[in-house]
Amino acid sequence: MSQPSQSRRRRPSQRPPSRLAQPQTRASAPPSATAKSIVIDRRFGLALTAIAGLAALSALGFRLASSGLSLPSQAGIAIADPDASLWLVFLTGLSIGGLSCVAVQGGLLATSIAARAVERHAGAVTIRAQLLPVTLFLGAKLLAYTLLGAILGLVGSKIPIGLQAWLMIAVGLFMLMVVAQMFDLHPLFRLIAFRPPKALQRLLRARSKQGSASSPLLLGALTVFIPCGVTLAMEALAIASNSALRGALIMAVFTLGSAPLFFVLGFAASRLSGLAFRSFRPLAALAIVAIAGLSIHAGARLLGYGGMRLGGETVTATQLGDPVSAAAIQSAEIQVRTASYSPSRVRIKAGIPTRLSLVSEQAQGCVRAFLIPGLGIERMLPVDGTELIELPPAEPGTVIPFTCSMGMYGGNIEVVQ
Amino acid sequence: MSEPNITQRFSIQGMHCSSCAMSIDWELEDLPGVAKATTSYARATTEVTFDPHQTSLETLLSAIERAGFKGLPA
Repeated sequence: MSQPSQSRRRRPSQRPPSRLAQPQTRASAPPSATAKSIVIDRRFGLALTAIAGLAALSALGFRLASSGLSLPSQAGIAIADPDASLWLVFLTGLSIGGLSCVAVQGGLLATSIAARAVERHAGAVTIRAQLLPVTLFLGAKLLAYTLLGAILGLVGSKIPIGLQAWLMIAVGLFMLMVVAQMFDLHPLFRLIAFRPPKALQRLLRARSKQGSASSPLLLGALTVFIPCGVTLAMEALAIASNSALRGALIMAVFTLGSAPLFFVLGFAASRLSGLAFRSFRPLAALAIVAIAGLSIHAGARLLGYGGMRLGGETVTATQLGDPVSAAAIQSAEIQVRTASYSPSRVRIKAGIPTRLSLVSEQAQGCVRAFLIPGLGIERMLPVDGTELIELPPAEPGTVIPFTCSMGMYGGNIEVVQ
Repeated sequence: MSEPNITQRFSIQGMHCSSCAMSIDWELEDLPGVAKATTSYARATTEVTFDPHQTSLETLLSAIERAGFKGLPA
């Protein structure tokens, strides 16, 4: 499937065959193969759709198999959770991340590899000779994007929590716009694009033509400057992630996800990238829409709109002391685990203060940063142990949402008569 | 560059991100006689300044096709 395209790009000049050169029998594609190439294109499209399906299934399987997996938490602050969005990011990378930029990135890499072959007087580029530069390219790309993700996450973490919620909503909307762009719904969406300055473009192009062994490394790292819509969407998500580590993780997972297809298609004639893009588009769009939904939901939760979650366990606060005396108080307990607050609905009586006990059991990640946006309460919970929060008396009928600092987990406190 | 260069506009079909525009520019600028190529993803067009004695419209179109897109002289 991976037809090296460099043979037509840069044919080595008339040099005497070197001993290094591998005898190659493959002739360059005959120009009269239009009908044939259409058939190949169709088969290629089918094969890609099959790969997309398999990739989706394996990602889903992996997600289910490892749903208990938790990542180590950084000192104090919440970071990576075994949450859905990271898997969706991976799926996005797997389905379309390797393709949307393949036209230019793959072209650069292919030119560089071909130039290297000319440099070394190798007649044609063998698969083996491609393996090292592609690995270097992807390795450098992974490193550069991970670093970029960390920086973006760090920038995001400096944004005050009030704006954080709006940022999450904005990022969600931005992702929906990227999906609109993918389907070319309106020319306006094509404005979502980033193009590096001409000077950098020239540097990239010149570097790819040099054919030095280190070119793939440099080119791979420089790809951070040639992002496409989907990459921009992931970068926005990294900013909204609110942590350097999580931002790094998002970008690393996305780039890793994009690697397999890049490996396979990196050299395929860029002509096929459009077709491949269309094959993978629905799957990627679904993943991105899901991430956008999660992001908007999280933002809304941080703003104090938690009412979307209606189901779940409910607990009613137990009243302590004399109900009519001034010392009356009620108490309720919430179990805090890595990916949940349980129960997620707490019913309290109006007019008397509440003592909320948050009991952590091996709690990791963002659940530890507990927020009640409506009351301006922010508390860092221990990994194991109990934290007490006093709530003032409330009006009947009010719903007070609580959430983790990232708006991923949460619930409601319902005030009844 | 004392030759009289001409500028031709093409509308481009099939671009899905700004990288596509870059790859069209690069493919065109690799041709002999092409002084400048400016592809706009937002407008879905490319503007090529070239020397008609050194390259032809067909050559430009096939370069665009090589980059993976369909061009129509506008």
